Amino acid sequence: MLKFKKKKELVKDIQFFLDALGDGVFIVDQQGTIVKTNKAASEILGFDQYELLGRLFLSPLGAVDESGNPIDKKNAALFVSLKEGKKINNVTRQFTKKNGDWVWTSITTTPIIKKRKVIGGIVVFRDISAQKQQEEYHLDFAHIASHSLRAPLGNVMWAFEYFMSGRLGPLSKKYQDYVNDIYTKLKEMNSMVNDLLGISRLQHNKIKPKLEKTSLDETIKKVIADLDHYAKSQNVKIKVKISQNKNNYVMADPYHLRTIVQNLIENAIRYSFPRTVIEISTGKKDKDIIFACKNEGIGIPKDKYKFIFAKFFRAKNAVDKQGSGTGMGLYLTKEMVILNQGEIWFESIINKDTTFFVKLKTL
Amino acid sequence: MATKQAKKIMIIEDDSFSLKLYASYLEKEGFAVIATPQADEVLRLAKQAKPNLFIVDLMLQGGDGFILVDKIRHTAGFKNTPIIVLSNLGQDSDITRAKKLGANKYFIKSNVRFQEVVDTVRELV
Repeated sequence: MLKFKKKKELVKDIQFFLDALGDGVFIVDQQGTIVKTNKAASEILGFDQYELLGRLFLSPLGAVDESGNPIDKKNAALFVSLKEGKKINNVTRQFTKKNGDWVWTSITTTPIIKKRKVIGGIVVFRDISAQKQQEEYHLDFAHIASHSLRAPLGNVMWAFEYFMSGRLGPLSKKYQDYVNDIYTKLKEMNSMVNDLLGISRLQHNKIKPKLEKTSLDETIKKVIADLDHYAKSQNVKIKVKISQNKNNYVMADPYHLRTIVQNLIENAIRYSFPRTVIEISTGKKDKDIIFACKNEGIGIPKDKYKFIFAKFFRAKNAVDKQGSGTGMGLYLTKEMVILNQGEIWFESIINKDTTFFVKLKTL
Repeated sequence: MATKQAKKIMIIEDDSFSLKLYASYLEKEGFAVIATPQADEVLRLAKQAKPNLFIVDLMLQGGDGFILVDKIRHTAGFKNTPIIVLSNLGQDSDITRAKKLGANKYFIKSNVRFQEVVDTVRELV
């Protein structure tokens, strides 16, 4: 039994256990200095154990986050754990190996607390380079495929819009119904292509907002006009209640704002019960403007709340209602809201209604 | 149908389907359309026809749409003529670049209805 062993033997045993682990481990003191590590850490990073011991965590590793931003003592998960005494799970970081190569890792940092005082911390990390590379291939493929699809899809949509406008002569009711149905499907396909492209850009850090004075009211108006056919095809109405402020302007990238508003209204239409009304409203709160989009529909199950903005997530009731979808729309929307310095949240009652709120800064 | 006083719109687009579609739509809206798929012909044709607005695609087989926007903007007689870019390129950097070079409006083709483009044409001419 461990408890009867002498301290020296116990330390040896701990090292034995640490070396048996498949994940890399660093044990650090209160200041973040590495006091123990293991074989897996050496193998992943290419450093011998003696080269790591006694050094401040991060100092030999030159870490960056997924956006390529350098990680320092201020924002490193470990130092947050040491300072705030909280565990941080599965943060993705790229470390520099001894030979200069990069390695992608997923790290979890846990504070060691004794008598309510943080006395050190543990970093456990896995090499996820292969997984990351796979993700990159998928994203590159998604980027190329969606970009190539976009041009012909756009052309066909405009052609259908042209037919529907009646400028080429009237369509019989039967043809009109078919054309409307095809247009609705094209819109759905287009929104999937846009989600895929958006996500690939996000992963490649190609989304850089250019914040400028942008009219929220105008954006809503244009999006609703754009989604008019889709709403009709799903048998839902859209009601807009815009606040009386004359200056309903927000600081946002106009293209991002349109994507945000479009994704939320499109989602509201997709998951509404037929013959219901979607309510869009805007209102001022202190120095911010809040955009709200409420629908009467399937709602979000409570146990899925925390996943709703996650990549690839679609709740079962959403899949049942609408088979097609990438599960990227809300993830992308949230990321865009954050990039535009805003906030997004929702309230939902299952099988009744859901409201998404977006708060954006005014001038 | 375009009348004698109709505003002239010059479309530079190398996809024949798109070109036919834009031209037909705009003519039905009462504009006179001059269309070409050739980037290197634009200035010569424009000097003759004196369009009131340009619609430019960025990915042209015979030339670069960005360079074309820049050339139009620096040609006497067209320094203030509105330019609308219609493109499938949707990256923030593309939009910023086209606007810096002189585009008044930038539309990502698959993100707007063509009617919105027509409304903007009407606003700008």
